[in-house]
Amino acid sequence: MSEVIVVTSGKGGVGKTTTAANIGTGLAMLGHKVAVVDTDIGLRNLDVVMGLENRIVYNLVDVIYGNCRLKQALIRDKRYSNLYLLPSAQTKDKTAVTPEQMIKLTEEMSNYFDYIILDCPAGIEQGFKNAIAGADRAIVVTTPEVSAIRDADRIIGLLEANDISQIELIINRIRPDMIQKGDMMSVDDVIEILAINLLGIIPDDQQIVIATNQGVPLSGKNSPAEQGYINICRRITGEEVPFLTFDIKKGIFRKMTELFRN
Amino acid sequence: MLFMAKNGLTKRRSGSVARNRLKTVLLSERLDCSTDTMLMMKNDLIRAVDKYFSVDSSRIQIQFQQDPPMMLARIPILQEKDNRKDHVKTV
Repeated sequence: MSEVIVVTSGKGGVGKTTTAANIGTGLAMLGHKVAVVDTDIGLRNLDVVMGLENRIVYNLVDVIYGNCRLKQALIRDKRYSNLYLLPSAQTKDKTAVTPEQMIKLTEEMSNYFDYIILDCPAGIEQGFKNAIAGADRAIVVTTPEVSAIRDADRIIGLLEANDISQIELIINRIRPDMIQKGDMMSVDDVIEILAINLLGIIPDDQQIVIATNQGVPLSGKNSPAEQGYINICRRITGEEVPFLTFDIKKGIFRKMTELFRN
Repeated sequence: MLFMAKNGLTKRRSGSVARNRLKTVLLSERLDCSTDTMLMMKNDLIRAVDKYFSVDSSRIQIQFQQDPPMMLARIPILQEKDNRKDHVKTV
């Protein structure tokens, strides 16, 4: 059985592409056959995050227009032979593709893959409509900021209006130290406001920047964010995994009081 | 706890400010109803009830609840004839 999952957010810059790359890689690590699809036509990005930018010959628009076969456009990952990328076109724009064509494409891909991860463009226009058209399931990425959460709320409404029943949330770039000080909305706050199921939390982590610089998602350092993504992948496959907890560096006073309390 | 004593009582932290601002803005967006519209509706409500009872306009409370979406209006009614305690009618 194959599942088509769209990664979306509304607001740009919250980590959709990074999330799509890491989830794709993580699911491949777990042994599934995975394709990640860059649906942001005109603004190609997923290829550089995956480190596959030098191998592109054909793209999504070529497949849809029949310029090549699907298998010719798919790029195999450097490390995982069961992970493929379908890159987006750089020369066309979002109007080059219709939702019906996307549905047809994802249906064809379902024959070959266990999971198809669609990286959605920011915004709620044509590109968004194309990306969600063929999806069975949606992952909404947000950060604990007012602008990102407001857009996430809009997106959730639109996904529901388009009959996508399984919608789950990833809260990205959590800063446990700021939450503890009360200067960042907590995970519970965000879930209460958006009222959808939590799929995972990703702490703010330098390792993600490093991995993106190198074009090697989940490069095996097992940093907190990478651990978060692996947990998310396991939850996607139906496993129950407890959510990350964060050890915040405690002052000597707090340590002492806890010692006595216990 | 020390931290609470220093900051918690004097000033609300920015996290809870963000939370409350978001709640208000999302509610009005979900209902497709601006804050101005809510104020107008509140005035209309008071006027409607005021036709039949005398209303204590200083103590009216209108609340919006998110989940399930619900509007709660507490409109205290003054009973001038006998000076018993006010009845509070929930609409």
